Amino acid sequence: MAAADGRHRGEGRGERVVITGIGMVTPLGNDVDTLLRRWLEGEVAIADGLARCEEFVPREHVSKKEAHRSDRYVQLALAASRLAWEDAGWGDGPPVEAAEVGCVVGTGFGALATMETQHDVCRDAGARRVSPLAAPMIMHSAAVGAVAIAGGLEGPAHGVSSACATGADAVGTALRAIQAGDAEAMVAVGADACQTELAIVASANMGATSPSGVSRPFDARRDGFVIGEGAGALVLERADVAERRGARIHGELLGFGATCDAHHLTMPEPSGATAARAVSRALADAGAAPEDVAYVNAHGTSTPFNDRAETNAIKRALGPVAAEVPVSSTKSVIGHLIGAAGVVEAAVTLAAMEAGVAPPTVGYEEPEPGLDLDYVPNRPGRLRPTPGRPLALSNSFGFGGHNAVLCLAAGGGGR
Amino acid sequence: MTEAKTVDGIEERVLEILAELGPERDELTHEASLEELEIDSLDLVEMAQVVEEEFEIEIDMAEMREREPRTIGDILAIVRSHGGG
Repeated sequence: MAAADGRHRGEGRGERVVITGIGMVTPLGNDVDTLLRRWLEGEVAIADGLARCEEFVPREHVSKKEAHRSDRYVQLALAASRLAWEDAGWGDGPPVEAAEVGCVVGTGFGALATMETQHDVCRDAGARRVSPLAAPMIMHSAAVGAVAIAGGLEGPAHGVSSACATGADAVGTALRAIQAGDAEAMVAVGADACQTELAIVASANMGATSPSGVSRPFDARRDGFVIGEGAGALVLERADVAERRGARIHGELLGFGATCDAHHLTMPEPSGATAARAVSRALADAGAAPEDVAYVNAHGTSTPFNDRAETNAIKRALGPVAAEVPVSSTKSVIGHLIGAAGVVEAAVTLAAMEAGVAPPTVGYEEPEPGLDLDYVPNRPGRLRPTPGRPLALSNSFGFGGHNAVLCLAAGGGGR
Repeated sequence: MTEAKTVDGIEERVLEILAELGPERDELTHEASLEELEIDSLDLVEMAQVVEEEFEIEIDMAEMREREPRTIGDILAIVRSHGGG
């Protein structure tokens, strides 16, 4: 328990921050328990090289007017946010003064579909026919404003964008806002819906996506990632605020570490040194050590470069613990949710910790020399036993060398 | 009589378009307040774009804003004054 020895306090940062609400829309269901159950059963949501949110019905979550005025990724962000604050028991509005609640909403690609459509209109029908909604729908903060309006959140509200690390950076940035005293609660959201023709061919032409249409992280046959879509949202609250209102506490956000490779436009730095530093920073921020780590939710994209560099990073950061700890990738079953990945993966990591299980890397069969961690092939595994409270790491690494790592623990801990 | 029909046609079409943007069709009475229906200037531009296209008229958006329409009836009057009927 964190309070017992004070080691898991986010040393030097002061405030403990807990997770009181989880919302998501994913290709394997629209709540975290469903996603975890289907993942543990080995269900894979990928078809024709894409992972779509087939079960998402926008009008169940957004009004006619909101639907008309927002790109699909914003609709996903709104749905996940509403599910998250409903889960947090917020009722008609935030439980504290509106100015004390903010949001960080990230996206990797943004409103690509709207941009493509309005560009076609401008070229084919003429300037006079371009929608007056195009600018507010395309601007990169479109989802931020939409979420703040929907929740009546009057605290700090802004966006983050760091490619595939966007979601984890959104959560980490929201954590810092609370710790800095800028807010008592924050909603951290990541969302992307970039399955447009342009994004699909562009990703294929750069060799990032899987020509075989299969996501098999860490396997020797891996050949790229599978483009998914979705959104994740976490309600973060200062622990004393959550406890005072008797909120149900899903877990604790203990640490955040972020670095940048400053190396290449798309490729990770192969030694994993800077990514390892992000892992170490997240652990230090949590006041924890490698021996406390029970599970690593990998970025695990299924690209040849990421999975090798990430393996190196885990070994560098965790030392001998790397050989003992289960490491698995959610992307093996739902593909790559881009800006949503970090939030959805942090949430499902928490659910797995709560259930006391390491979910599998589905489809992993053929080992590759040097990629020799316990990737939890195909069947759920056991968490690594830890001397104290078991901690999990959720890794997110993005094009441009962005590394963002979250350190989490299930339950309220400090109480 | 065909002219009157055209006016009726465009009025009904304007209401249909506005209903696609948010409010329910039966809320759109002549007296209904734009503010209460949450119809804003962006909605009016969208409506005007569709009407211009379908009825081959031109609606001066600057003039629409200057006239500060407050009700559905005001909107219909402006559309009519731009040749919609």
